Amino acid sequence: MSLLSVRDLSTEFRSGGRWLEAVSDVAFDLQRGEILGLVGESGCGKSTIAYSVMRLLARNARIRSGEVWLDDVNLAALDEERLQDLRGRQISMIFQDPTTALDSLFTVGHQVMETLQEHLDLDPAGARQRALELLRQLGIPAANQRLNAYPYQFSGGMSQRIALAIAIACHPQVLIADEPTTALDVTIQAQILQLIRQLLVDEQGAGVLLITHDLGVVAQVCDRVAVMYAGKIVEFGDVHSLFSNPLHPYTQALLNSLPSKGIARGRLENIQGRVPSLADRPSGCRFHPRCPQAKAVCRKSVPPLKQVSASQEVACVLYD
Amino acid sequence: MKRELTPNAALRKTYEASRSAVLGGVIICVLVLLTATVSLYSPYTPEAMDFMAPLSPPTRAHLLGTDNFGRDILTRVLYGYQISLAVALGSVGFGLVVGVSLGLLAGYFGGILDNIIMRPMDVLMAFPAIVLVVALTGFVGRDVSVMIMAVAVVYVPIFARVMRGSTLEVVNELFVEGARARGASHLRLMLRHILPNAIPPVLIQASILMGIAILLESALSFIGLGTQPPDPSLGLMLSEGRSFMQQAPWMVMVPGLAISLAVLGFNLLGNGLQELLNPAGKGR
Amino acid sequence: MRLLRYIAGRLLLLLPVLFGTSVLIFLLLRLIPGDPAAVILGLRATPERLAIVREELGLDLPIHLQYGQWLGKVLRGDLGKDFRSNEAVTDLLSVRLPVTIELTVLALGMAIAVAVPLGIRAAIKPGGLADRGSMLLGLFGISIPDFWLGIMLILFFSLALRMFPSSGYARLHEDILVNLRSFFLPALTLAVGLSAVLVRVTRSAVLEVMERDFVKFLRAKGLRERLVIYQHVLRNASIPIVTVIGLQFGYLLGGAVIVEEVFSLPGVGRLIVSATLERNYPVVQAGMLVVAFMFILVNLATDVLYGLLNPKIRGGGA
Repeated sequence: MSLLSVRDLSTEFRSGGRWLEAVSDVAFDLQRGEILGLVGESGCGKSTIAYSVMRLLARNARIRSGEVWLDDVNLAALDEERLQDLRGRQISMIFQDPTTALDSLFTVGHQVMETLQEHLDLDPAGARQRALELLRQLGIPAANQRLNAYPYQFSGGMSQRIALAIAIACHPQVLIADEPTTALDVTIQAQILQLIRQLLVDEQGAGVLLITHDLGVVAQVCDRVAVMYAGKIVEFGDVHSLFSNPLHPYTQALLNSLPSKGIARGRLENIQGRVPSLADRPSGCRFHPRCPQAKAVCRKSVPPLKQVSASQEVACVLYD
Repeated sequence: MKRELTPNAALRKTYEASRSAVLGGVIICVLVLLTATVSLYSPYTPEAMDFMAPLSPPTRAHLLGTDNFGRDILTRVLYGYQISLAVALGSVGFGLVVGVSLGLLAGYFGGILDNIIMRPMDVLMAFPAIVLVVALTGFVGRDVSVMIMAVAVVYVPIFARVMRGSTLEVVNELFVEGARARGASHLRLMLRHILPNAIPPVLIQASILMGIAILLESALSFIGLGTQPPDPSLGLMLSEGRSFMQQAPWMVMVPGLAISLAVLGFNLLGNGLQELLNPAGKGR
Repeated sequence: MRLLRYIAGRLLLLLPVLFGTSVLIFLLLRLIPGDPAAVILGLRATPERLAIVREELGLDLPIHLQYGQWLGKVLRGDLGKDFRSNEAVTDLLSVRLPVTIELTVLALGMAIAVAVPLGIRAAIKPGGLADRGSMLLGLFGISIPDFWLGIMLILFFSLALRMFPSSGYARLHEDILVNLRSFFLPALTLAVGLSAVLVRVTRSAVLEVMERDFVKFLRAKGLRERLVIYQHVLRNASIPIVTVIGLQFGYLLGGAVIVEEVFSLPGVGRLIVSATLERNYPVVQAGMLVVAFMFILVNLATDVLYGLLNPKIRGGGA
């Protein structure tokens, strides 16, 4: 059974008196011991999925329909109190900008320990001991003194390590990492990704949902990947198949926009046109206005995600 | 998905802000109109005493009652507004002209001139407004023009500060740089390019300070340092009414409500405009 | 160490303001039309008395020497003499100052006790009951003149309900109950205007902090909402709140002038007003000096508190 199962999730934002769908009927499973990448250009709804799963949507957003199963609990229908108990203990999240993720007025130690004491039955001394171990695990030098330091005394990379320490403090089964390395430089990026892989996936068998717009990151650490476009998943598969044989024209365009294929890292902005805004999403296949292979039918019918090989699913009429 | 003010929430805030500004504007316009034309329609003069009806509660003849001399309170309130508004307009006008000039110079030239202008402003701001106004009127004299100047002295540093900050925000904008590159003189840059773009926050401040000037005038008259009897001033009426407040509570209620209404009008206008100008901004 | 340097820096910045303040207060006497000594003495002026007052104020000296003499005295704690009663002004002030301090501190306490929780609630639930309440308080609190509010409170609580005395007072150490009863209405009057400002600042500060990323992260790690709000959000929001309280202290002192007058409390404010009315200028000058000094001191305290709240300035941590 999968760890986290998202079923037909639709999330919408209120805007100008209307509700606009940011995420439409998204479904995927996250398995134990895997890193699942969620890629797409900014504005495609990938972070909205993360916040929907965590139930941390902004005031003006809501889950319209769908289910989010964590074990046998549907997070989408859970009350605030039980959610709070699950967050941090069963499912955690880290964010893009580590320097703003920590409260600048409290010591790093306090922020790690309060997480531990919230969820585990630990006295202050025990919490401090455990916090110390965590910082050491994350390769923070002079961990004992660093517990008493304030966030402003940490670099971006070190801050992200602290955030990661907090996120994994209670051994969650699922970690959602929303662009965790985008704000960091390349060498630090690799270290953080390495830590996620090692501490969560390899040692604890947890599942990680890694949200990124960077295909280089996907190639580096992900096992499987879902490609999103305008609020929908257009292609899904294991990283090898998807990179060697991209099926959806959007995926192909993404990979073509890389400077050189394979491990090279690149940004996704090099495709003609822009992601349509929430207010005017195209009919039919949402990619058709930008698609080099679009047909008349793409304008009208919405292609469902279909299994085309053992390791790949795609939502495109070309594969009917 | 970045979290930002959705168009809808922004629109609603805009709507509420403009509603508040319009309401404030309407209150002020009505008060000004009633006050300016009071001699045309009021059957009483502010000093006319009706010895048949001292301390009369509100009746058809005296809509808001009379005071201990039988003077019509409504009439006196409307004449009292004339003084309040004159002090407010005079002090804000003077403070605006001087403060904006100083703030503009300080912000535009910066450096030593900035210090020469702004340090004395800090000194003026080290006194609570009312204390400074009390002292100035006390030392110089009890007179409407002194009152206006005293309140203006309090306002100059406030306007100067707001204008300086606003100038600093504008001074490095592209259109200023552009004009500078085309060889515009300092004076022209300041007056034609910076002033119009930097002034809106100052004008909003002016609306709020109009209200505060009304409060200061009435406070000053209340303690006996402002308008002198028998001139009708709202603060003075309030102070005179204190001796009769048990027999004739309207004598203290009406002038107080009148002050509050005028101040409320200016605050609604100022706050509304502030939110319109800067929807994401913080209260003050 | 870092904090000390920070405080020293603040103090250094205050020196010119203190100097300017003293010059301004000194010059006020020069604003009097005519001979200050004659104005001060009024009808009691005799050639001998005029000579004494001129001598005391140094009116015969050139103006910079006059200032020097005056400042020298002030720095030695000699604030001059009340020429009416021949009392030293410092003696007058030592009786009056505690009244004003008690009044402002009580008002500050009341305002914080009401406005901060209300502002937090308003921010947590925009559009809710607390939000509307805080909006009304924020608008009416700054529109209603405090002297009128004081009169209304007297009318209602003292004259109609007879719950509180309308005037009169006992010193704190004489009879604490009588003292508190006589301070309740004046402090309440003063607190309303301050709460109006404070509730708006609290609301917007809390709203602003709640939008920050770290709050999302606190929620993501499953910290209970109570701790998120009352520990983290509030601590962060307290920085702007404290700053505004410091700035608003001037408002409190100014309000005290009027409120003491309304409730006949013998504080510094009432002293300034009655001395002004009597043209007892040395007393007015001394009163203003004290008020300005208090205001500057509170601003310094605010800066220090700001530094204490902020680990970056405090230089805390490893």
